[in-house]
Amino acid sequence: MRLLLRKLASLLTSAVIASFVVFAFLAVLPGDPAEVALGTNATPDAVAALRHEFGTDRPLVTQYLDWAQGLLHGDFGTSYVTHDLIGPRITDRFGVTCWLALGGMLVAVLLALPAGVLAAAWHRKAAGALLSALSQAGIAIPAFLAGILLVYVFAVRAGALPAGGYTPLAEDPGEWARHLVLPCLSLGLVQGAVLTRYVRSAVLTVLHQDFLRTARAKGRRRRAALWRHGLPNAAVPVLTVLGLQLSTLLVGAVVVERVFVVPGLGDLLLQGVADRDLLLVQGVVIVLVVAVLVVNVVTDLLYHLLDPRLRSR
Amino acid sequence: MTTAPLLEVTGLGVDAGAVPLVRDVSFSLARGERLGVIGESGSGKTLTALALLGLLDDGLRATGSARLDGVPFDLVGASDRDLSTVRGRLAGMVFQEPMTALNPVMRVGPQIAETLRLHGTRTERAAARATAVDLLDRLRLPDPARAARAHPHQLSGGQRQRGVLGIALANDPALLICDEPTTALDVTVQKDIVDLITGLSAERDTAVLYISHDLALVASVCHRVLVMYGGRIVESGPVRQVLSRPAHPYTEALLAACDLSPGARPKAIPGTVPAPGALPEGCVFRDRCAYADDACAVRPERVADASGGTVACWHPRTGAAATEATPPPVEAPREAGRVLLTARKLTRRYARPRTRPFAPRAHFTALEEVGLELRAGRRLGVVGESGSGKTTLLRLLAGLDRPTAGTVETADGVGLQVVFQDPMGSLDPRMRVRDIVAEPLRGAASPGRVAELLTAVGLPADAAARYPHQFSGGQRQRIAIARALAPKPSVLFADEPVSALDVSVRAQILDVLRGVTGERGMGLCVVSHDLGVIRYLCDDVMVMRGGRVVERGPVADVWSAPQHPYTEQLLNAVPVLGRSFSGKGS
Repeated sequence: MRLLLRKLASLLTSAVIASFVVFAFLAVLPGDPAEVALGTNATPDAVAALRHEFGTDRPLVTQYLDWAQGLLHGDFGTSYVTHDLIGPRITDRFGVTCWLALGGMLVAVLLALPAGVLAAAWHRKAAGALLSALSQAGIAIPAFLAGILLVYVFAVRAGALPAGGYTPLAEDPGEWARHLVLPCLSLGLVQGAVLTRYVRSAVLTVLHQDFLRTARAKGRRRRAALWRHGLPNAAVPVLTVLGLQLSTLLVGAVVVERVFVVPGLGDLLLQGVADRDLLLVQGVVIVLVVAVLVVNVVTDLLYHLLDPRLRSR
Repeated sequence: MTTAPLLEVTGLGVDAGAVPLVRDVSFSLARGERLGVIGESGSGKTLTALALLGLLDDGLRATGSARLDGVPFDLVGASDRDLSTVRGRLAGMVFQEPMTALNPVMRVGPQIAETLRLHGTRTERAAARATAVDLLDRLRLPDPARAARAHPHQLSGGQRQRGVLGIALANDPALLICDEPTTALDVTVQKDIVDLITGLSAERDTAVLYISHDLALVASVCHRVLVMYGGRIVESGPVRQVLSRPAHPYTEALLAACDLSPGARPKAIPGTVPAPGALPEGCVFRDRCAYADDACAVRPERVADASGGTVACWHPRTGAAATEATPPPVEAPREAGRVLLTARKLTRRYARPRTRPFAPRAHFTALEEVGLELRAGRRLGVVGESGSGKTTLLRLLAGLDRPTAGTVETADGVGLQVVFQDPMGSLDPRMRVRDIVAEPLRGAASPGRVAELLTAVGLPADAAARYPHQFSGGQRQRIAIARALAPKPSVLFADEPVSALDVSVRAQILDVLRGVTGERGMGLCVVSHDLGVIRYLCDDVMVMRGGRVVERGPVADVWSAPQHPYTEQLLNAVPVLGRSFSGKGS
C-alpha cells in the first residue's frame, strides 16, 4: 500500500516534469502558429490579432499553466489549425492505439512464452537451436516489412482479412477484430521474437539453479519442476522486458498504423506535425508519456508481487 | 543383524561425452548406517551422489547399477518418471548451498508441504502445511510456524538448511544423501546441523551418505568411509581405521595435509588434482604418490584387507600411526618489532534504508570500538563467524573502507597489501602473470624482480608468461600473494586466504604466508573462520562476535584456556580428528 502511494507520487512528479519539458521544447521550436495559419501574405496586424485570439501573445509561463490546468480537467485545448477540441480526438485515437499495443503484446507473449521455454529446455538439441535462429531472424525484420508481407499473404493472396482500415469495437466487434489481426500480428511477431530471446535466457538461467535441483530431489519430474518452480522465477526478469516492450509498442505503433491505415495516436501525431498543429502534438506526446509512466508503475508493482525479496524491505 | 543392504551400488560410472569422470564405484549401505565419502574437488564424490538419484546435468551419463531396497528397478538408467517416485520419498537429498537450494519466490512451509503432497503422505493442503510446521519444529527451528510462513531470504543460512532438511526428510526416507551440507555454514551452526542429522538418522534408522572434504567432520558423523580420488574409490573401511591407520598413500597424504594440530606441520601433497581427462594410466594417484614405482603403471584392483576395509594400491601402508609427525619449521625467535599500525576505537556503521520518507535512518553497527596494534614480525589472526565484523575490520585496517569513528595510524613508510579469499575473482583474467605481479611496482618492475617474487611463493619462473586461468586455485593464490609482496609491504592482510582451496594445497599456501612474514619481518593479519588455520599460522588471536572483540591473546593461551564462553563454544564446535570418531564405531 505504502509502495503504491510512493509509486504514484513518483509517477505524478515525472508527469509534471514531462509536461514541462514537452511544453518548453515545442515553445522554443520556430514556427508561430498564427503565422502558419495565415500564410505568408498576412499583414502583421492580422497575425497579432490571431495571436491574441490563440493566446500565444501571453507570457510562456501563463501559457504553460493554462495548458497544464486544462490537462488536469481533460481539456487539451482547441486546435489552432482545425479549430475543434483536441481532447476527444486524442481519446478516440488513444483507444485504437491501446488495442493495437495490447493485441501486439498478446501475440508477442503467446509466441514468446512457449518458444522461449522450449528453446531453453531443448538448448542442447537441434530444435532449440532452430527456435533460437528463428527468433534471431525475427528480430532482424522491421515491423513494417512484416506488415507488408502479412498483407500480401493474408489480404492480397488469400483475401481472408482486410488489408487496412479500422472499425470501432462498438460498431461491429467482428469487423473490429478482423481489422486488428494483421496489424497486431505484424507488431507482435517482431516483439515476440525479441521477447523469445529474453524468455530463453531467463529460463536457461533458472534451469541451472540449485532450487530446481531441489525440486527434482523432492520428486518433481523435470518438466513439472520447471513449470512450478522455474517459470515463476524466470518471470521476474521477463516482466521488465515486457514493460519496456509495451511502452515501445504504445509509442512505436506509428509505422504500422501507417501501413495498415489504422487511425491511431501515432497517425494523429504525424498529422499534427505535418500541420504544425503544436497544441495537438503537445497533447499527443503528453498522453503517450503518461501512458508509458503508468506502464512502468504497473510493471514495478507486479515485480514486487512476483519477487518477495523486493517486498520485505 | 545382516539383512539385505539398503543400497547396493555396483560399477557406477559417470561420463561427460568421452571423458570419464567417475569409474567403478561400488559400495553398499545398510539401513541406519552412515557412510562418509571423502575427497577433494574433482574427486567425483558429488557426481556419484547425483548419479544415484538421476540428477546429473544434461551432458553427463551414468553407467553401472544402483539398487535401492524396495525399488523394483535399477536407479541407474531409470526414466525420470520412475526416479521421481523414489526421489523425495525413499531417498532425500541435502545440498551444499542452503542460500540457493530453496525456491526464492515461494514460502518455506509450502515447499516442504509440496514434498508431502507429491508422494501422497498428506493429501490435504492444510494437513500438509501443519505437518511441515511439525517437521520444522523437529528440526529445532525456533518459532517454526513463523519460519514456515517466511520466504527463504528472510532466514539465515542455518535456518534455510533446516528447511532443505525438512524437504529431504518430509516423507521419512530410508536414505538421506548429504552433499557438504554444512560447508557454507558457521562452525557453531554446523555442529547443530550435524547433530540433527546424526540424531534423526539414529532415531529413524535412516541411512546417510555423507559427502564432505572435511575429514574430522566425517569422522564425527559416519561409521564407514569411502575415500575418492580421480573419480575412483581408492580406499574404504570403518572410519576409525581409515583415518587413524590409512592404507592408501592418498588417504595418508590427505591426513598429513590437514593436520594443523600443535607441533605438527601440514604437508602438502605434491602436484595438483589432475583434470578428469588428464588422469595417469594405471593408478590414478601415481604421479603424486611418494611410493609409486613401475608396478603402479597397472591399475590396482580394490581388494579387501584384513580389517574389513578395501584399498586399491600396490603398496598399501601398514604403519600404525599415520605419519611420523613432521615438526613445524624451526623459526628463529621473532622479536616483536616496532609498531607498524595502530587502530583505535574503530567503528563502522551502515545506514539502513529509510522505512518512510524523512524518517530518521536506522543504523547497523558492523564494528564497534575495536582497537589493535600490529607489530613487525608478528602474525595476528582474527577469527569469528559470519556477521562478526572480521572482514569489516580488515577492510578498515587495509584502508579499503573508512571508519565511521576511530582512527587507523600507520608508522612512516609502512606499505599495506591484501590477499583476498577468491583466487579466481581477484586476478584479472586478461593479464599475464608477469604483468599482474609487476603492476604494483609501476616503473620499478624488472623481469628479475618478478622471477624472484614468483620463486618466493614457489611458482616456476615460466609462470610469468602465462594467464591466470592456466593455473589451479592454489597456484592462483600464490600469484595473488606474489603480487601483494611486490611493493615490499610492511603489513600483509589476508582475508580467508585458504578457504577456497583444497586441503592438499592449503598447507602450501599457509607455509608461503608463514615464510614471507618470518623472513621479511612483515606484520601479518589473517582473517578466517577456520580456527585451525589461525592457530597454525598466527602468534596472536582476536576472537570477534557481533562487531566486538570478545577475547584476545597469544594463540597458545587462548586455545588452552579460553576465557570467554563464546571462544569455548567455537573451539568445541570444530570437529577434531581423533577426538571425534562416531560413537557407533565399526
